[in-house]
Amino acid sequence: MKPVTTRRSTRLRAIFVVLITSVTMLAAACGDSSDTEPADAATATISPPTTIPIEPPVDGGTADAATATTTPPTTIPIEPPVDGGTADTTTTTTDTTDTTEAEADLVVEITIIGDIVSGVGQRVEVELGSIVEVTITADVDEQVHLHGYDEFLTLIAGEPAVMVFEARIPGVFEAELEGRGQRITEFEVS
Amino acid sequence: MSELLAHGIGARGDLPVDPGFLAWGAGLVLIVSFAALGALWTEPRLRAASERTRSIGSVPTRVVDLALLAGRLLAVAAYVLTIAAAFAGSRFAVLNPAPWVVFVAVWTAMPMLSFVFGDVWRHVSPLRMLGRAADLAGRRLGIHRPEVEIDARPAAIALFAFLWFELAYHDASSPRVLAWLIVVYSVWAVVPAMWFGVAWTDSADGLGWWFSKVASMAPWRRNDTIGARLPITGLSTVVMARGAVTSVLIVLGGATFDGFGRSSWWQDVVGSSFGWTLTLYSTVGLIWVIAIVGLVYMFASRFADRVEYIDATTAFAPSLIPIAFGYGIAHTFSLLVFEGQTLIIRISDPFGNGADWFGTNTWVENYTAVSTSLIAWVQVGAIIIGHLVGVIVAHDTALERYKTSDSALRSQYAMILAMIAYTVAGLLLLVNA
Repeated sequence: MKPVTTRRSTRLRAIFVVLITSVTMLAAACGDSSDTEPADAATATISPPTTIPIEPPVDGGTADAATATTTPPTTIPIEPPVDGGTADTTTTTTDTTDTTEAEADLVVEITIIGDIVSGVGQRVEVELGSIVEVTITADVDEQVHLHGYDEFLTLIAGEPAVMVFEARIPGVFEAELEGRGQRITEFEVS
Repeated sequence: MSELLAHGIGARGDLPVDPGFLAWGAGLVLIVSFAALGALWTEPRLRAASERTRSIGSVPTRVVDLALLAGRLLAVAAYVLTIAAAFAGSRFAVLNPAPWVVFVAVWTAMPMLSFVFGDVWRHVSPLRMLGRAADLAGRRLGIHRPEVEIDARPAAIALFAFLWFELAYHDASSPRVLAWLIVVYSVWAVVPAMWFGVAWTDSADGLGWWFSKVASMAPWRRNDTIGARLPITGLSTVVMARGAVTSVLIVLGGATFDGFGRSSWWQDVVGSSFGWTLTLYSTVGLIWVIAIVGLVYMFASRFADRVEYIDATTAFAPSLIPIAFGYGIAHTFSLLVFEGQTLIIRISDPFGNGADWFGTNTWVENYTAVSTSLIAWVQVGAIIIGHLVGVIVAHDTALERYKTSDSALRSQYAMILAMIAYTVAGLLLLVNA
């Protein structure tokens, strides 16, 4: 159909192949070198389980009805915790955490003040099947949502709350302050 | 996927892809690109192949038409229900099906359906029905302006606005915000059709415009009856109106930003910002990525035009369609699998009041329905196959447009480099997911 100058186009083709080869090899090399990055970026701070709350828990005078209860996903998920008004029975969150701490394979302690999240990197690597215990203290009344696992955790400003989950689903899962849509960290389960 | 698909949609993100996959993928690119561009393909074939159809017969065609009619009724019902749920249902995304309808059923599933079955959207879209009604009304009222030719620029505007909303706006999964988005989008796509006819809707409904481009790859062609043809060949007949290149680059850039936004690099930049601060960062990032993707393409087509001027920017734009589609698959396949389940659950209780219309409300998502390695293979495969198809289409176009096969080949140097750059970038983003 079209005049083909065979010799010339063969040479061009050869140049072509060399070009593609070099670029693809470069690509493969880049890929290999960059594979270490995610591992570096994901720094899980594994701190000893002994916890000193940032702020001392409020006395019985001021009210707190429910501290650190994981609510099932079907109940209203984002509503801030309702204050009970006046005096009520103090919850026994600390007791339950003590029992779970012994079993946890990974303990993460997170503090959130404004848009600064400390105690944890952008991503936490978790081995599939391990028990993870996350203690979160924030400066607002909020709701933590661990996507995928659909674990919810009610936070009261200044008080640490504990969420324990078994990393049984592989993938990357975001933990988020649901109310203001703030990403806390991600758990990379593999 | 996590926060990026509309913050709150996308419960389970994909694991980073093993670099081993990347090496394999790169090798495959090398081998098949070489084979495709070697001595075997020396004259244009695609256009002729796209016209070789084999009719499926009139009875099956009628069955398809019936199915499309049912699909249209379903789409109208879903459209009304989604708007109602978004306005009147739960304020919380997790209890409202609307975000899942928009981002999963429409934006994620429709391109895949279009790829397999052709331009389904054109036949079922409620917006197009409304657009036709507006068209008729305009003619009745005598305000129809047939002299105005509608190109693809409205599609570019709509696509950018939608992608900004999806990927950059911080509260995209909020049902109330989404409700207004649907209304504004519908008015934009429908009302001007009174003046400019239904052609306006076909362009201004940017998502539908994109679905129709994806549908050009489908192995079907409609005449009196439906004819089967080789897949992909239809890309050779795609007409790129003014603004079409920009639109495709916006989709490609958006898909790239979707992956980029999940990378550890970007998350180090964004940190734990939220609200409008996050929107600002993401907006800059989105525009930046679209600009880079666009510049790479412009650069490559400028090079091709220097070999011999053929308006390469427009001529080679159809080859970007499979690449953008492949990127889309790579970033939304697992979303479809997992969030598709959520859609089925949510739709049973559209107003979040405990109803169970279809008996699916008590189902629980199975986040282990497909294995992580299958997801990785689909991701890598989609990017590489998309790239390969792009190379083939560009090569075929070049043979068709250039005077000699020699200059056709030379015109493709920069184009191939651009496509390899896209592929490598896409794969690197998967490694850093």
